[in-house]
Amino acid sequence: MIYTQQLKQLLNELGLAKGRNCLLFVILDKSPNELIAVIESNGFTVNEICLEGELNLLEILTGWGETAESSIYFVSGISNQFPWVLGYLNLHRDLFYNIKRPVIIVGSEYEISEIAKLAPDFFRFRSRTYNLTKKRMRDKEEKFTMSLEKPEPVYYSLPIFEEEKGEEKLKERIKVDEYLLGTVRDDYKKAELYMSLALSHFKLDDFKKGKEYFDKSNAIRDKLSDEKGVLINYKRIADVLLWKGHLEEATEQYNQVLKLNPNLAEAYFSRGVAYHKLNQYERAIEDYNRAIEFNPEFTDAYNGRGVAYGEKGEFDSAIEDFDKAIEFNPESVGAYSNRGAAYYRKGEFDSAIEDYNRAIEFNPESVGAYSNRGLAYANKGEFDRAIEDYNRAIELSPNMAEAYYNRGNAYGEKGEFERAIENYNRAIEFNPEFTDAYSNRGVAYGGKRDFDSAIEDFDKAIEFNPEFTDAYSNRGAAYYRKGEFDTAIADFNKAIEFNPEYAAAYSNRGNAYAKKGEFDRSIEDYNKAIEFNPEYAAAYFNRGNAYGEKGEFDRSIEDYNRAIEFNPEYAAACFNKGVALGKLERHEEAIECYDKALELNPTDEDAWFAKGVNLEKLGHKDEAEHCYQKARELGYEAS
Amino acid sequence: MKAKALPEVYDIFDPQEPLSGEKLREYYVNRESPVERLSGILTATQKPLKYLFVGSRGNGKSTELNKLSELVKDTLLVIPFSIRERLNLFDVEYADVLLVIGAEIYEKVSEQVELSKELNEYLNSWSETVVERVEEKQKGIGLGAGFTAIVKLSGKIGTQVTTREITRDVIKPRMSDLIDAINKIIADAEEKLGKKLLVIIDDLDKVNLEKAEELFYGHGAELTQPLCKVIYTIPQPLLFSNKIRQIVLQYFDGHEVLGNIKLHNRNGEVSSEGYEVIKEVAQKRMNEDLITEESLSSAIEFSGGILTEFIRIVNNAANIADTEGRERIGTEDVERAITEIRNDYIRILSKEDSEILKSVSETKEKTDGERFQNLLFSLAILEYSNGKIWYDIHPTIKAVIE
Repeated sequence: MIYTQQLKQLLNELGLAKGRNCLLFVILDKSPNELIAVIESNGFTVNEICLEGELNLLEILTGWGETAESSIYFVSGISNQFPWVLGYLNLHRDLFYNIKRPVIIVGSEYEISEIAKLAPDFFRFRSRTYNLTKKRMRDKEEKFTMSLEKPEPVYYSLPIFEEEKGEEKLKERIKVDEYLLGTVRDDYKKAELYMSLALSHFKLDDFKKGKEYFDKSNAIRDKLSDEKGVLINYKRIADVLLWKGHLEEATEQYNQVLKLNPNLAEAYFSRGVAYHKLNQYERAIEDYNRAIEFNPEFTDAYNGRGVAYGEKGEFDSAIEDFDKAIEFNPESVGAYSNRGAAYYRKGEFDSAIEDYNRAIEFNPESVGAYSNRGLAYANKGEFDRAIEDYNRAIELSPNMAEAYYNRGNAYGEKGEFERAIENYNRAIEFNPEFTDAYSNRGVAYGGKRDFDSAIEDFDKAIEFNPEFTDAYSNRGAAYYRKGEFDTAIADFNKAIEFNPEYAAAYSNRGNAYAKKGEFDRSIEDYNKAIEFNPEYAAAYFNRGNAYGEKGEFDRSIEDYNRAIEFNPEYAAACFNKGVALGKLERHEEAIECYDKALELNPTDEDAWFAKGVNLEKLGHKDEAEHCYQKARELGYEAS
Repeated sequence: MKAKALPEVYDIFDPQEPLSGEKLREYYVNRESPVERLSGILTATQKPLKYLFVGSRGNGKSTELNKLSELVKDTLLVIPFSIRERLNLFDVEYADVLLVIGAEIYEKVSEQVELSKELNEYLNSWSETVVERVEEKQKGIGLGAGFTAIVKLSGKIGTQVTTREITRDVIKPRMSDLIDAINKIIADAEEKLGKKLLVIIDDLDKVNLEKAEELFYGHGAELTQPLCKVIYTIPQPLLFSNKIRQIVLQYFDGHEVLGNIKLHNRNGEVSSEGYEVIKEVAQKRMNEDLITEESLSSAIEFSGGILTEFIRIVNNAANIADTEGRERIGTEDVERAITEIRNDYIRILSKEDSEILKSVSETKEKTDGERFQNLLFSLAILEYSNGKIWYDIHPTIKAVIE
C-alpha cells in the first residue's frame, strides 16, 4: 500500500488518539486487509468487527476496557445493517464518547455518504474522514463534481432467518424505520423501509399491518418499474412466512416469485422446504430437482432431497443425495448426520457410526450426532460405548428426554435396572407424556421383580396409547409373575388383538394357561407362537413342558430337542429332557442330558440329584451316592 | 490546561462534547448570545416563564445552556436534563416528556429538601394507582412503591418499547392528575427552598420535524402546564412555517435564538467581534506560538462561525502538521483540513441542491421547502442574526458553488 499523505496522516492520528475516544471514517474501494496490515505494522492492535445480522456495534465496543491501550477498533460491513443501524447510531452516539479507543469505520464512498446523510449527528462526532481510494490517489487536484440526484436502486440485506430477538427489539426496529421514513427522500430507500417494516410486523404476527406495508413498498416499486425489487419483495415475504411456519401461504408467495423468475433456484428450494414441512414429499422432491437443475452445486437442495427420500423410505436414493451434498460441501455436518441416519435405517450400523464420527469431527457439539451414534452402538450390542455417547449428548443438552430414554434402554439391556429406571425418570420429567419411557421403565421394574410398579407404568403407557401392543404384553407378563393368571391372559388377548402375529404374546399366554392347568389350550398357543416364530426356543421348551404334564413324554422330548437346537445353551431344556427320558426309563440317555445340563451349570444341585437317581436305577449305587453327596453339598433339599 | 505542543492541541480540541463543569470555567468564551439576557429575565420575575431556545446543530447550544445554569444557580434551583439520555428520540410523545419532567423535579428536589407529609401521602396514593395499572399489563416489572416507583418507570420507558407503550396508555387518561402532582411538588419545594425552580430540557431539538410538530404544536398546552420556569430546546424548522409559528408561540412566553457567531455582516463586511471571540477560544486552549496568525485566521474564516467546525479544523490541522514533523500549524495544514471538510459536504450534496445554495449565497435569504431545511440541518447553510435572521452557505463550499 502506497504511503499517501492521507495514510500517513491517518497513522499519525491513531498515535495521537491513543487511549482516548476518536471516531474516524475511512473510504476504501477494496478489501481492508492491506490497510489493517499496515496499521498493525505500525504498532497498533487492530480489533476487527465485521457487522452483519444482529451484531450490535455498541455492545461490542463497551468491552473496550479489556483491550490494550494500543488497540483500535476497525469496523466494516456497516451497510449490512442499513438502514436501522443509521438510526441506531444517530440515537446512541453519545455512548461513543465513553469508548476510550479510536474507532475506524470503513466503507465505500456510498456507505460513508449514507452515514453522513442519514446519521448526521453521529457523523458530526467524527474527527475526520480519510479517503484512501485509488481515485483519490490519482487526482492531484480535487475535482469537485456533484452528482445528479438520480435515484439509484438500493436493496438492503434485511435479515429474515435470524434468531428471534424478542418483541422489544422488533418494536424498536419498527420505531427506527418509521423515523427514517420521515427523513429519506429517495423512493428506492422508502420502498426498502416499507419492506423492512412489513417484515418486522410479520415477525410480530401482525399480518394485516405487514401486508399493508408490503403493498406500499410494491406500489413504489411499480412506479419505478423496479421489477427486481418486486421480485425481492415477494421472496422476502415468502421467506418470512416460511420461517413463521405459514407453509401454505409461503408456497403461494413462492409461486408468485417463480412466475416472475422461473429460473430462481433459491425459490424452488425454499418452496421445496415448505412442501417438505407439509409432509408432501413428492412435491418437495420435484422442487429440489428444479433447484438442482438451476444450481447443480446446491448443497442444501441435495441435503433436503436426501431427507425427503429418507422420509419415503428410499434410503439408497437418500444416501446418493447426501453423497452429493458432501461432495460440494465436505464439512457439512448436516449431510453426514443425515447419511448416518439413512445407513442406520438400513441396518448398516458401522457405516452409520463412521458418518456420525465425521459429523462430530466438524461439530463437536452436535447433540443429534452423539445421540444417534449411541443408538447405532446399542444396536450392535456395544452398550458401554452407547452410554458414553448418550452421556455426551446429555452434557450438551441436559433437557433432552430422548437421550435419557436411550441411555435407560442401554442400561436395561445390560441388566442394570436401577440405573435404567433413573434415566427413564429423567426422560419422563422432561417429557411427561413419553409413552415409550413409561413402558420401558415398566420392563425395568419387571427386571427388578417390582411387578406392581411395572404394572403402574404399563397402565400409564396404555393410557397414552391405547393400542400399545408391547405394553399389554409386558403387563400381562407382570400379572403372570404375580400369579394373577386370568388378568394376564386378558392382557395377552389384547396384545394379540392388536398384533395377531405376536409370537411372544402367544407364548406367554400359553404359560398362563399352563399355570391354570389348561394344558391343551396352552399347547394351542405354543403352536401359534412357533407358527409365527419358527425358531422360538422358549416356545418349544414350554410346549415340551405342557406335553410332559399330559404324560406325552415322546412329544416332550421332541420339543426339548428343538429348543436345544435353536438355543444350544438351554440348560433347562436339557434338564427337563432328562426328566422326560427318566419317566420313559431311558436312564442312560437321561444321564447324558443331566451331564449336559451340569456342563452348562455345574452347581445345579437338582441336576446332580436327578443324575444320582438315574444311576441308582441302573444299579450304580456308588456313583449314585457320589451324586447325592454332591447334591447335598450344593444345598439340595428333598421337596 | 493550555496546549504546549501539537499532540496536546489535538487532545484539547475535541469536536465531541459541549463544555461543562471544570472545562466550562477554563475554556468558556463569551460570545454573542441571548443567555445573559435570558438569565436576567428569568431571575427578575416570580412567574413560571416558558421559553424556547433555538439554534443550529453544533453551534454551542448545550454549552450556552450550561452557562445559563451557572449564571442563575444562586437564585434558582436548576434542573437540567437531556431528552436524549432519558428518552428515545425516535419515539417520544408528550406523555413521556411530562413524566420525565416530573421524575427529574422530584429527584432533584428530594435531594435538597424534605417534602411535606401530606404531599408525600398524596403522591404515594397517586403512584399506587399508576403502578398497579402498569404492573397489570407488565408483570414483574418491579417498580416498588411511592413516587420513586414513578421515577423508576420514567427510567425504563427510554429503552423499553413495550413499557413505553403501556405507560402511555396508563398515564394519558391521568394526565391532569400527573400535572397536578408535579405542580404540588413544585409548590412545596419552592416554598421550602425559598427559591424558584428552573427546568432546562436539552436535545428536544434533535427530534425530527414530524415529532416536533406533534409535541409543540399538538400538545404545547400540556407541555407548558408545569408551574415552574422551563426552557425547551426546539428544532429550527419548527419556526419556519407561519401557521405553526403562531400556534407554538402562543403557549410560550418567548423564544431565544442562538445565532452562529458572525464573521461577516450580511453585506460581506468583516465583523471583527466574531473573529475575536473565536480567536479567544483558541487562545484559552493553546499557546500562541503553536499556530501562525495567517492559518488561525483561515481556520476561523472557514469555520463559518460554528465552534465545532473550528475545533475540528484545528484538531485536524494539528494532526497534519504533526505528521510532517512540524511543531507549528501552518497555512498548508489548515488548507488540507478545510479540503477534507469540503469533501465531506460535497459528498452529500447533489446538483439540485446547488441551485438553492447559489440563491442563498447571493441573496442571503432563505427559500421555501424541505430541501432548504435539510441543507440547514446539515449545516451546508448557516443561520445568523443581527436582529433579523439571515443565511449564508458554508464557507468551505463557497468556492464550489460560485
